[in-house]
Amino acid sequence: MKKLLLMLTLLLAGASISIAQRTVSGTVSDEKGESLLGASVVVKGTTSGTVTDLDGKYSLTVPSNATTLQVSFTGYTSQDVAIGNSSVIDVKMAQGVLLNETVVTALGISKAEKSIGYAQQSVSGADLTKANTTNVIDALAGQVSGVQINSASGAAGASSRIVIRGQTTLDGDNQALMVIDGIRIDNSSYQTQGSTGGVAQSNRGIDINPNDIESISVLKGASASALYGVEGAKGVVIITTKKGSSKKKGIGVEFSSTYTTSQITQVQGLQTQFAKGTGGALRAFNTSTSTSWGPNVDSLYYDKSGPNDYDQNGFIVGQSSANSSGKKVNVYDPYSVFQKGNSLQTNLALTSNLGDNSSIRISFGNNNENGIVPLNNFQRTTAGLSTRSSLLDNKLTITTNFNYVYSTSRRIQQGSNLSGLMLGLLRTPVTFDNSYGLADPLNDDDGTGRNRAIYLSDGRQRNYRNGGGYDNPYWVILKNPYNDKVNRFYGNFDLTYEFSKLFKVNTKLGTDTYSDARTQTYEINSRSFPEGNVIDDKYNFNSIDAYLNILGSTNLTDDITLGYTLGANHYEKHLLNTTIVGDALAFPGYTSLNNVGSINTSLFRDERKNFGVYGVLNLGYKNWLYVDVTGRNDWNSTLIVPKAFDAAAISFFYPSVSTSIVFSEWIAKNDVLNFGKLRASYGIVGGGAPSPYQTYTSYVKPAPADGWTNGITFPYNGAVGYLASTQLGSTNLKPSKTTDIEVGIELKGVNNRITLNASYYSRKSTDQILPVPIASSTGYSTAVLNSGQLSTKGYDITLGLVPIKSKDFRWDVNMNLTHWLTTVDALAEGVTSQFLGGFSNPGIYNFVGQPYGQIYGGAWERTNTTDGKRFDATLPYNPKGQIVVDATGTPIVDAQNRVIGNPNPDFLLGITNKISYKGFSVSALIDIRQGGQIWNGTRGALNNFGRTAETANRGTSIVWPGVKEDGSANTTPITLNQGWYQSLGTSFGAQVETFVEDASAARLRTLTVAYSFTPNLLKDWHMQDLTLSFTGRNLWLKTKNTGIDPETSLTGNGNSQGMDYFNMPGTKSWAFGLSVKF
Amino acid sequence: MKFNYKILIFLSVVVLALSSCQKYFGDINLNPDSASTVSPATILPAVETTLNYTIGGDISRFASIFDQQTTGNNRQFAGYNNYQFINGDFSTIWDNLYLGTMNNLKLIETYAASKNANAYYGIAKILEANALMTATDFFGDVPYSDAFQAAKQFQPKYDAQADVYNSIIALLNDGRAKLALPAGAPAPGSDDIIYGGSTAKWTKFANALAARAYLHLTKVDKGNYAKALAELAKGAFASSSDDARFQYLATDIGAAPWYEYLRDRGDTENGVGYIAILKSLSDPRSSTYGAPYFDAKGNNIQPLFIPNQAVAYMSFTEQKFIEAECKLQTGDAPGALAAYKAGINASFIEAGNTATDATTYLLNPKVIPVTGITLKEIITQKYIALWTQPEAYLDWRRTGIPALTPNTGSAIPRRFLYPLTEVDYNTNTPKGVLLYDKVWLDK
Repeated sequence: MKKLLLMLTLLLAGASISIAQRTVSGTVSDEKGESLLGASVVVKGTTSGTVTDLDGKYSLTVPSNATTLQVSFTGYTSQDVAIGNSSVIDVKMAQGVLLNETVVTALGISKAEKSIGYAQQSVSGADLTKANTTNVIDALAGQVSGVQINSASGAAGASSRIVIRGQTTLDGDNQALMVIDGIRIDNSSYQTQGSTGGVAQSNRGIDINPNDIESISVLKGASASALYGVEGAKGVVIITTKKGSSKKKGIGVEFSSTYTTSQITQVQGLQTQFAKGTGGALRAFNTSTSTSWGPNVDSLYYDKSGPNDYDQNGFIVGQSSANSSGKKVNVYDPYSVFQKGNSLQTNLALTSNLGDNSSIRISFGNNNENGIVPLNNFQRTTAGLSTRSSLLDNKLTITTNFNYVYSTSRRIQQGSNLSGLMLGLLRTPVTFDNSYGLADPLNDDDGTGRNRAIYLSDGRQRNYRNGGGYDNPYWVILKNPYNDKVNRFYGNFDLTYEFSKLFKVNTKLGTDTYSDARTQTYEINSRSFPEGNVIDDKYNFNSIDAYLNILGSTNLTDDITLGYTLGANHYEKHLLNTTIVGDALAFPGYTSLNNVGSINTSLFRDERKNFGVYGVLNLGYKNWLYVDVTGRNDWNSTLIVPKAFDAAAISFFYPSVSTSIVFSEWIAKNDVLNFGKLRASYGIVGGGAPSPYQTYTSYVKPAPADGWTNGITFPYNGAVGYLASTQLGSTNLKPSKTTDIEVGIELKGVNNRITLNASYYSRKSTDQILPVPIASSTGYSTAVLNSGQLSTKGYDITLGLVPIKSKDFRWDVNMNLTHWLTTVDALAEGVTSQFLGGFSNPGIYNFVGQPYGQIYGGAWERTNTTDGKRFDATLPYNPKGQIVVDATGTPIVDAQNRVIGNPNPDFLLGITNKISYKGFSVSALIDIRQGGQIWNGTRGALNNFGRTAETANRGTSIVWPGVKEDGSANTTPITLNQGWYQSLGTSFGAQVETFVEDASAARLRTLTVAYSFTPNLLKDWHMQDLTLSFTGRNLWLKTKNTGIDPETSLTGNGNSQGMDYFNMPGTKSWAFGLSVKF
Repeated sequence: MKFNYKILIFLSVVVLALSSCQKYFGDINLNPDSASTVSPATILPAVETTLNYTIGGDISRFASIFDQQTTGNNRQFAGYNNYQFINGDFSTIWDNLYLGTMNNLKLIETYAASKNANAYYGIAKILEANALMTATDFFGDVPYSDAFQAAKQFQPKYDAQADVYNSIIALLNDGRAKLALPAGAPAPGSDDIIYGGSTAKWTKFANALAARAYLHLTKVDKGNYAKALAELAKGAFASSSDDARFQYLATDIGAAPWYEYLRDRGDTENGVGYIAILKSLSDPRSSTYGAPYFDAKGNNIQPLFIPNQAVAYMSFTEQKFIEAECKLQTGDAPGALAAYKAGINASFIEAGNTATDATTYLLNPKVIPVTGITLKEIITQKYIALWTQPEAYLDWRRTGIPALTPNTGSAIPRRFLYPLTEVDYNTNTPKGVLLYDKVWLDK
């Protein structure tokens, strides 16, 4: 296309007739100041013109009566520029809407956007870096329709979850597949400790430096991604890395630096009135009492005894005490433990052309992030090398991309564990100062080496329960650190040789290899491990992804085009996890495996291979009809029965077909409808088991326990122990299958100022391979079966508007709307529910006939008879029924657990408004999540302790809205006192539904203000680009949830979403950035 | 045609790759880190641990809240103290019995039967009887004859408790018969944490367990007192050194269940009623069985809840009280008194008191009334002696001794609820069961 334009322009230029003439020259560049080669510059109304050279420069002789230059370049909006009297005219081109844009599709194949028959959406590297996130997944939030992003917590290094168009597996990972330059890379998040405790782990996608990304292409449907096998059924995030440009002379330098400061956003509301105690009576800090059911702080004073281990101000006494010093007690804010986080991101990239047809890009990135909790940090250093060369008359193309990543972090214990930061922090009574009033509680030394914030003088831990209960938050920070180091290499080598247009051979070889070495230590006197503990947890991951393709295309007739790809793919992955747990430290201050009393090792392994052959056929007719057909056959190792190999049993074939009809080609070109396309696709994706070793029953190392303790670890006193796995393997598994139907429409109109891309899809995942829960009386608690079905129906809509567009001023609006509903159609015969994660009450479960991942737990008894007045245990549960109270007016707990909440949102809507004026641009992304619920277990637990804001109403009476067992309206009041909050008013009791809250949220996801200096100015400074920017994230958040940011998730990026139990709060941040290009 | 020729080459490469398919995949789907077969010597210690941790952990805590030897006073245990239980609260107990214990004992039995490893076979049967009796005592009707057949049966039927007890006796008989034979090979040794492979001691334990089983059935048939005595006559525990106990370790990861629970949770204290009974008898065991669990500073000061506690499956002390009760009920008053005294004496030693203390204690007319001991004295003493042992609750349920007032409402729970996994996944699970419903042998 560009070549054609060039030739055309040259022809036109040659034909020009000279009258009175003068010369005009200048540079044509893009918005960022990058010079444009081959832009056409024509004197308007004449045939006189030229094209720009390598540096974007042109020189043109124009007739003296010429008034306007017309500048155009493919992919950019054409401009008319007044000539006036100037002899130098520089033109900056704005990117326009492309009609013949190419996009990256499965296997890295670029295709014309108009020819694809399924949903695909791209995000530019610039839009990713603008979002200023450490984790590239977070940067996609709100920018792509059909995609849901969840950040697990505000902790530095925490994971994010990406789900595209709903869930396709009951048991396996539901997150999108990540592919870099055609090669799969690992985005797992392995838990060192349980998913409800431990630290917030990273998803390994965090290792990718967003600055190295040229663009991201999101493939949403099964037919788009069928060539990736079952992993592709979850949608694919295809990342194309920056490669440098062979068009550019000399060495290009790109430098950017961003400083970010962050702080916690919304927090759980706490009462500030009542002191430690029970039954209204005060309890001193040298008692183990856990609750804040003590007296009102207004009635409390410090005594005259002076400083003690617990409090610098003395002991606390009542108003009337003779020992009172007359000094009122202080009220402390437990959240003062948090600090302002910060991060410094620095990126440097050097690009150079190596001759006419080769380029190289070397990049370095460093991100040093300090979290909102002291000592929590995440550091990532990346180095990348990519090259592209075209050799042998451009017949041979070689591209390479190699990356080395070194990430380290120190993380903080969270969630449901005695050493979780928020657990101890939020339960601390208002009258107890966890920091002991020290200016620097992290570095205190009383002269003997003792930190007075966390140690009593007798060597025990200082906390509000006198050394018992939960760790002091400062203890968690200082004494229970988790450190990890990740060394990762990923890269690929891609070679294409073009024998002819009809016959090209392409091979791609890639690897992803990393080691993740983690150490979690607990100092002696830690509440989780009073004798101290060391966990040394190592992960070694390696995958190889190799492709051999032959491909080509031709015009069969003038009207019919044909393209084909035939290929084979080898994929293998090896994960070995070695965990060494050392128990009971010999002496404090040396938390090492060399200082423990006993050592215990365990291994976890995940190894698999897949071999696939595939073919693609692309047909095009007259520029308006396109049909793609694909087929793939896989042989998958997870289906192999050991010692009974059967090649046919592990083999499966699946096809897809998609079509695109560009109906705008049928009508004459006009300004109202620039482009119109209908598309439809149908695809099937097959797959093996979500995890290996499910085809037999193994024996495992037991850990007898009873749900309240860590239990016994084997080997026990030297005796090796094994028990049969509680999972019964299956020797006759067949492949699972996802079928996907999608229709869509794409429109561009009103001079390309309105664009619409809408899809409706329906998807069914059948023959799922999953461990089906069975009654333990069978001898096993799960049996691996082909069973279960999930279906998803949904739509996603992307709407782009350009309400105002003038020479200097432009306003862009982009909206992404996402809706889906994934329903569990079936589990297994006789099985109606499946546990996904969380607690026993509540947990996240799948139920037949209900949306994926429901919150299930203890509920109030509710009326369900037809007259709506009574409860009948034999009738179905009615979640909207009235609550039934007993004779004392106390609500009754339903004898059965019920579905009490649904974490799935009704829809997601991301709205980006971007306004640019000359060098200034302001962009705001408002991200709305409507519907969906979260279980606020933090509030549920804190009610028991009398710590939540709502428990300040202690002693007040209410008439519980509901009916008595005889059906009459309740009129009997009950008192909301300690007894209430410790039985029915807490999630520690049988009833937990009260703590399900609305997780709907609207937020200002990002706000970016940027200024790019004008090219004229930059020229004097020998720069191509200089941009200053400010980015705010989550600066505004509105939600009905009374706890922390409801986007957070206790279990990280796993399938059991919708749980908050002492999660780390979310953050908001402000960033200042500078980027320069030479 | 050149074009086709090249495709042919490509396809033949693919075909070639697939022809060595098996070699290509190798053993990749066999996990080298988990055993695909194991010996009984590795299963036995794991089973013994699992069973004991369950009896001495969750079951002990729930039963001792019911019989008021302890009080739950914080968090979840404050709810349990008010009998607020849901089905899920009993899942771990059930799983430990059915999965961790009985299913694995079946594996030992199958293996041992094929090798004539009589000692392993006998031990497995006796432990299975112990586990099954624990299950049926607390859950009533339970799956057994249809259970442990996951490969063909996902919905095992529930056996009536009377049939379950027949199965228990059959298990004990089968086990004892095999224990009487030469041990065979392989034979258990240090992997048997309870008895180090001593078949003689296992036989004593089996006889004592059989006596316990018949005692449990005396409410439905008084003839079982004599049957219990007949089992003891076969030769049960001769002294406390024969006790079936599990010795825990003084380490964080090998510590006894109560110690770990008090360390990690600590939401339980001594029962007020239990302490009152000790006080009323001026019982010297107040300083041990009656000692508070925590001091004011929250330190665990219970002298017996130590990490290396030896937790009983069944003790000589219990056996003596069984003997006392059965002899009393069968008209042998002197025999009953002798066994009663021996039981108290053994309990004193267990509690860390001396035989002299016991002798003095026995002079207390409230301990041995001048009119002679009755069922009330025997069960009260057993209630004191079997401190935090589930058997104390079963005795209360059977005899109503000591008289207890419910912590809340009008009744004390008389059973456990079926676990959630059973309710959800086995359609044969009895419906509408409440904590206050009586199991068959309690009727």
